[in-house]
Amino acid sequence: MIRDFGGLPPKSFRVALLLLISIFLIQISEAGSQSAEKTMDTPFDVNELVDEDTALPVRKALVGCDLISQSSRFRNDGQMALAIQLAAYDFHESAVKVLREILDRDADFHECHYRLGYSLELSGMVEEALESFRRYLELEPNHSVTLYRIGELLNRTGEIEESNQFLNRYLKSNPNCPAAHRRVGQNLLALNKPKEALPALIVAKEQYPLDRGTLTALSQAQLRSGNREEAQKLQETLALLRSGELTETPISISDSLIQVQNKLKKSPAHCLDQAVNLETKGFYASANVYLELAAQGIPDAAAVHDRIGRNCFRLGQYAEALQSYDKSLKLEPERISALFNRASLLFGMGRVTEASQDLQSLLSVNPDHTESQILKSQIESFNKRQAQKEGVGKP
Amino acid sequence: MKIPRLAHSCLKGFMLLILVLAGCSSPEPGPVAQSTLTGRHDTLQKAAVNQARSKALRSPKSAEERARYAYALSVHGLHKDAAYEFSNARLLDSSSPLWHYRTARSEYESGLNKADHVSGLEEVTRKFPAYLPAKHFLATAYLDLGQMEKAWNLILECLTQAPRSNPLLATQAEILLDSGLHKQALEILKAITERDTRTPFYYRLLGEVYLLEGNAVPEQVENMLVLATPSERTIVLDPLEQKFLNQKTGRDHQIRQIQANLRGGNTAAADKLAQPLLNAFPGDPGVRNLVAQCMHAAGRSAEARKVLEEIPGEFKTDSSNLLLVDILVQEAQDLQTQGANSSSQRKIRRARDIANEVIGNTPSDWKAHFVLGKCLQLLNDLQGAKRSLLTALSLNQQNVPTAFRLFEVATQLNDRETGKQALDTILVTEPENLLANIQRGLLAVSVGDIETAKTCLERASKVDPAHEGVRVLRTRVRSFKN
Repeated sequence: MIRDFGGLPPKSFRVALLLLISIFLIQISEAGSQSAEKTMDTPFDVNELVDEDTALPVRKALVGCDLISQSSRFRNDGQMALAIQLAAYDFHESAVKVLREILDRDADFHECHYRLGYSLELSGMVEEALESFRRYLELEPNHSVTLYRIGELLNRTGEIEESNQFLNRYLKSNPNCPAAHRRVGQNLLALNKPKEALPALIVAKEQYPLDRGTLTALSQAQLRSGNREEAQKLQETLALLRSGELTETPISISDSLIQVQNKLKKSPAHCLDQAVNLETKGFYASANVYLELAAQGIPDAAAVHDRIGRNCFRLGQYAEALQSYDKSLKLEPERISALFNRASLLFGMGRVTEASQDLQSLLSVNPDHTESQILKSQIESFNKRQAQKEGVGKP
Repeated sequence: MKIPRLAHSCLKGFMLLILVLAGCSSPEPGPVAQSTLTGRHDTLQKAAVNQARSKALRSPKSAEERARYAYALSVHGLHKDAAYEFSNARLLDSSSPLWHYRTARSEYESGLNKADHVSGLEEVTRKFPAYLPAKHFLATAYLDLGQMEKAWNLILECLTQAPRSNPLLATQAEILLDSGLHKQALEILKAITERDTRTPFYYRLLGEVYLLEGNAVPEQVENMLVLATPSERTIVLDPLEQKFLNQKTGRDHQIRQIQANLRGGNTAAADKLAQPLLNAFPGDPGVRNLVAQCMHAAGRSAEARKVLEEIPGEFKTDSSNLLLVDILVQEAQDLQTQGANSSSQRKIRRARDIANEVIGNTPSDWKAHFVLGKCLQLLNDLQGAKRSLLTALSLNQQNVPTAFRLFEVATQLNDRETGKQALDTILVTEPENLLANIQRGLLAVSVGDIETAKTCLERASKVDPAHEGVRVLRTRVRSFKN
């Protein structure tokens, strides 16, 4: 047998090189795990997470909660709130540290195990996360979402059959959960049972017809079950999703414990979203609470002050509306919507000259602004009638 | 080394002598400041500031007058001028911590970069360590700047001095709320609002907790926040301050005062505040609308109508139109009582047309259906009135006057079922309502429902056992039993 290695170096050299590379890789992985352990072992310090650039409400929340939870009166509740907030801002490693501190004092703090599992999972520490969720399930056997979480993690560790056992237990109490059906289907596919996977994946698709994960798994299951046409249709939908012609609606799982995080979230983006929801429902004072938080976080955002002003106007709080429009225009003097809103407000208050000034500024920036043109003609006809009225009164 | 007492006294005397010989006197205050009022300040605010300035000009060496002027500037947002005037008050009376505190506070409030001005407040708290207003304000400044540790420690220190002070507890709640400790904040705020139901700021914080927690009825939270905003943070007051702070005025401030009085049923007080507001803002449609509301509530409907009718067409809103309908209905009723039926009918037809116009704009406005119902009742279109009032009641089931009006119309129509429905609606909202219980009881007796009649009698008797209606109901119940 002729073996031609071409220009390769001698075998002994190659073996030595491979050995070196292996040693190098082992060292890197050890160093990595050591640094991860080191990160987890160092005591929690909130000042490492926040700085001057952190949005003020977020900084206040984390620093304040850390501080107050140091007093014995607020210890457990405070630390739990801190851990929840840390998780809300994706500081999961710090959340793990705080949760472990609580558990060191009180190992039977039920909720803590669940949250620890969640943050460990999101820190990539799957085994430890599983351990925490299993402990929580022992303490709270009726908390069905834990079954789901364990099922999910077992899938990740490759224990597919056990994963489905947990997921099926979960589905007994939550028979319509699309996320669990999807995972069960995916697991069955992994176990090479495409036909058995079909019903679960179809249930998930019925509820979330544009969830990419479900469509992909279902397409595979159909294909492997011999249903080429069905698979083809699904592939077409997936292609539309990929091209952006369809928008994905991913499956979300309702988890009351994790939803608590949203209540404590004060990042400007979250606050702005919340405000939009409230505005669409007509809750303008409530929306302004969130907008004020957002304004604290991004004080230079002219749009936020403009929105606060508009909500104040809708609530009949004209002085506050005016103040907010002023702030907005101080930050962005040519902001069209703020100029228009202020002009409308001033006109509504009978301050016609000031309204005209704002309209003039606006139309010099955007002469085609239709609403302003309408308001301008309203003001002009009003002025004309007032002049006529005054004329009638004169001798 | 100890100086003997006699030598000490001699030394003091000598120093005084030197001062007298040198012609030394107390330091001179600076001239009274020109106020930097802007176009955003309205007539009322300008008048208040100018009035305080005149007084300060008359007595430039009176610490109190300089401070009064400073407060007039401060409550209207002119913090820089206020700081100058407070510093003059401080110069004239350096023993009062109030002027030191207000000078530092106004300097802080006027600063673009607030963090640079905290040191002035800190200095005051060092100089007057037991003076709560300054310490409390400093704690809130720390909170606003995100200096949570300083804010928390200072508020705890303040609370050791005055553990039940609502303003201090509110700041503690605010810190807890900002720190994400909602449950703890809620406990404090519930306790405060039980003790003080009038300060909007406490409800603003309470509303925020409910909103963030998301476990209260959203409409109720919104309502709480609407009533509580705008509100200013409450700071522990120096006993001297109250008399200076009432200089706050302005269009919206006065409007809120009037609205609060109207809500509290104090129409006389609302009416008293209304006329000066109209004088200051004669061309303001919102003001005209509110003033007309006050006049109408105070029984001066003709004047109210005039005020409303002078609003230019561009500014007429559904709300001002509905008020006009209500006034016309009132006038029509008065005319009917006087026997002037044709004038009454003319007015009521006009009112009906306006009400229908408003319903066309906002079909879900219960008030519009209510006033239309009243119009139709006066026009003797009882079926139409019943329809309108039923619609109004379905849109606002808690409105007792609508339900009573519906009961009246149902009685005219001899429609017992609708009458019963109207009274039951009232009793859901106000189970102790005397008239509703009497009427419901009488209705129950008439259909042989003695149990309901007895319940109503019991409730009505608790409210006013000697009431004529209660007496009649009691007799009917007894005679039914016999």
